[in-house]
Amino acid sequence: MIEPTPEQVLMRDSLVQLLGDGVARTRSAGEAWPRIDRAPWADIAGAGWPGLLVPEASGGWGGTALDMVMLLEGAAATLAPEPLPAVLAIAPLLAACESAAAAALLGQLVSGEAIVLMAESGAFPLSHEAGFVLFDAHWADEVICAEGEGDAFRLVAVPAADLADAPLRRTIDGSGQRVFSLPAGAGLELARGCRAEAAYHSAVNRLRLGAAASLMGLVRGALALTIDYLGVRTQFGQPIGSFQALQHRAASLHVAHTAGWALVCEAALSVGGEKEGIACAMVKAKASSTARDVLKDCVQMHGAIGFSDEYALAPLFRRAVTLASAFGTSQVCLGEIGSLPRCA
Amino acid sequence: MLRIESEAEQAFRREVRDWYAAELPEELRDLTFRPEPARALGWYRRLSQRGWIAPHWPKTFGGMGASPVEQVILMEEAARIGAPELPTQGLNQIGPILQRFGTPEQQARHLPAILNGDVIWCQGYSEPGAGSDLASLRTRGRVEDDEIVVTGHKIWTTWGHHADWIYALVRTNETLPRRQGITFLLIDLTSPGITRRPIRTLADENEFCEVFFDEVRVPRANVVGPLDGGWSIVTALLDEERIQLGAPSHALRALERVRRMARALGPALGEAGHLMVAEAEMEVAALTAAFLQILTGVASGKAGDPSGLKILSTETTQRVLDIAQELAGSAASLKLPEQVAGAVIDFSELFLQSRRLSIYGGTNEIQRGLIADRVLKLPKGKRP
Ligand SMILES: Cc1cc2nc3c(=O)[nH]c(=O)nc-3n(C[C@H](O)[C@H](O)[C@H](O)COP(=O)(O)OP(=O)(O)OC[C@H]3O[C@@H](n4cnc5c(N)ncnc54)[C@H](O)[C@@H]3O)c2cc1C
Repeated sequence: MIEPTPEQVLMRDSLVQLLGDGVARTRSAGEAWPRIDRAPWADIAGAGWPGLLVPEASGGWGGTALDMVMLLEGAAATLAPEPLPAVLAIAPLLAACESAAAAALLGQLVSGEAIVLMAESGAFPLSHEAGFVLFDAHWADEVICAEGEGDAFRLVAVPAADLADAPLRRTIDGSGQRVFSLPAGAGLELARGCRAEAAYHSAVNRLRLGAAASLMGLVRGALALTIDYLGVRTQFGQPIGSFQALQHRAASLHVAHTAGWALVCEAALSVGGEKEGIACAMVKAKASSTARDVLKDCVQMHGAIGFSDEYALAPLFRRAVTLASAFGTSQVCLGEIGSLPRCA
Repeated sequence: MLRIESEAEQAFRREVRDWYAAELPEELRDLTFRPEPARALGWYRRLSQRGWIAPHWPKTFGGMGASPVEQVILMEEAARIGAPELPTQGLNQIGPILQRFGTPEQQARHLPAILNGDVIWCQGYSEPGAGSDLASLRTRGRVEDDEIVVTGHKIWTTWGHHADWIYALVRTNETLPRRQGITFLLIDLTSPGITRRPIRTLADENEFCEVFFDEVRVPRANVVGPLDGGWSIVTALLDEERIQLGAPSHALRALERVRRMARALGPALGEAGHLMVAEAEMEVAALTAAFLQILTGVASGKAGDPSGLKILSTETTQRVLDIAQELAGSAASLKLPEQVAGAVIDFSELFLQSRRLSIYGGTNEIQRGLIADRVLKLPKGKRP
């Protein structure tokens, strides 16, 4: 198993400390929804985190995909509401655009002045009229959208204020989602053509990889809670963890986590290579289904307390369901893998 | 239901479908989950006046005495039109208990009120320390002349904060072995000394609550069965209750979600989507078949396998809702239902709610243990 380096541990610990008790913040954000508190984001940006994956030449840290997954995995269980994973994945895209417009936006992103998110194209099949889905929509200041293919490919930035007419829908983890379509020619062009398209696809890959790392972080957090609980809850005069039915279940979850996390690390090592696309589709499919299955079993092994919102498991569960639904569900990603040319 | 229906059954289905279409108010259709009492009870009473609120109760107690097929027809038509879920503790739990073990006075007082929707009941079995091991309960009842004075703490009481009455297990004798000192009590929740605290759930609703009893005085006339003999009442009825828990009603409702999503998706459903919808149809058909067989068997005096049915029904519902999650794509995490292609579709709530099914009514692990023990007669081992 790939272990985080001492630097990665230091980085992760300082980020986790900065994010603090995300559950408490998510709960109070729930009351104010969709108003958000930008103060923590100022601290996050002030510490330089949005620039993690940005090349040093563009004012970032030049971090690797493996740095990203170590950080996101470690930070996931804080359940911080800020959309750091998405911002992390998008920043290098702006650096790759090589246009003045993109460079200016990147500057705002790194300084924390603007939260820049990317919309998912055509992934809301139930609503035929709309072309884009934006997760964490109420955090965004600027939204990146991709249109067309090949030479006609265009990457544009749209001020979030222009999307205000599209309904903001609440998601179960206390965040928000917007589904919208863009009028032709809308937005500020950041890049166009085949190279921009390739850069866009690697941003989607990083988004998937980051979501997968976060999902496995949620899984690890939920498993830790569950293992503890199996040791302390007694029924029939014994700890419930002594019942073989639960022991085997817990062991299976441990194995599922091992496989899921191994695939996250492997996919991080694929970034930049030929297999990056297939690896990131696989890791999102695997992490989404593993997280849903493991979290369900964790709730089950807690009994009714696992079903109550007051206990720490419920918010982990809801966040996992939300992440599993973003940037390609298991089925969507599996479909992509299945339809790619064989590339073993 | 796949079997050919008789002419009478077909006529009954048409009657149910037409009546629901004419009577069920628009605002009660396609609700995600059980509506609050003020909204639910009006519909409960309409069904009651039509004579369909208690299909499984015998006619002698005002029920329908419906055949298994008629029961499934009612569930299928309710799911098709998106009828709301109604409170069941009275109909499925305390009603049957009183029919078998209640005094004539208790029956006369409580059964009509359940049928008419005048009273909401809740179940006070679980305690913080007593879940799967229900017999370890600590809530105490001190017998004083013709009263029992109750002190203790119940938890996870579904609809406890809406309920008028609670049926509860309390320990009335500390000297007897733990299963023998328990009494079954009917307690009016307006009695002095009761406080309730709602608890929010994973699905973000105030669905259950904690109930605290502080020296609550309950008349002895409210004891069901013998004093200290409450355990045998509960166990005698568990099998019948689990058959109701094993009914395909939740699964049918879940399947209806999947069907609506498939219709809304149209060609976007794709080949993988088609297979998932087909799987959902097949699983629910198998569950419905099992329910019909077990119910038919029970009617002719066979024991059935209520634990197996409970597992089948709850896990089928969960599987169908997993499929709905996949079909929903990026909408799977939306909190509120949406109007899509002419139908109201709820993306996440039933899925979140369905986690309860394998926990309540005796967890599925406990049911599996019972099957190993009672049906398969496996050696006892370390299972308690
Ligand atoms: C939505 C909901 C509504 C409810 N409504 C009511 C209500 O109205 N009234 C009421 O009285 N109760 C109610 N309950 C409580 C329910 O009956 C209990 O949750 C259930 O009996 C399990 O008890 P527990 O939660 O304490 O879990 P525990 O008994 O602590 O079990 C924890 C885990 O250990 C497992 N386990 C325990 N013993 C064994 C064993 N011997 N072998 C293998 N595994 C084992 C369980 O299966 C579970 O996975 C409700 C629960 C829920 C979730």
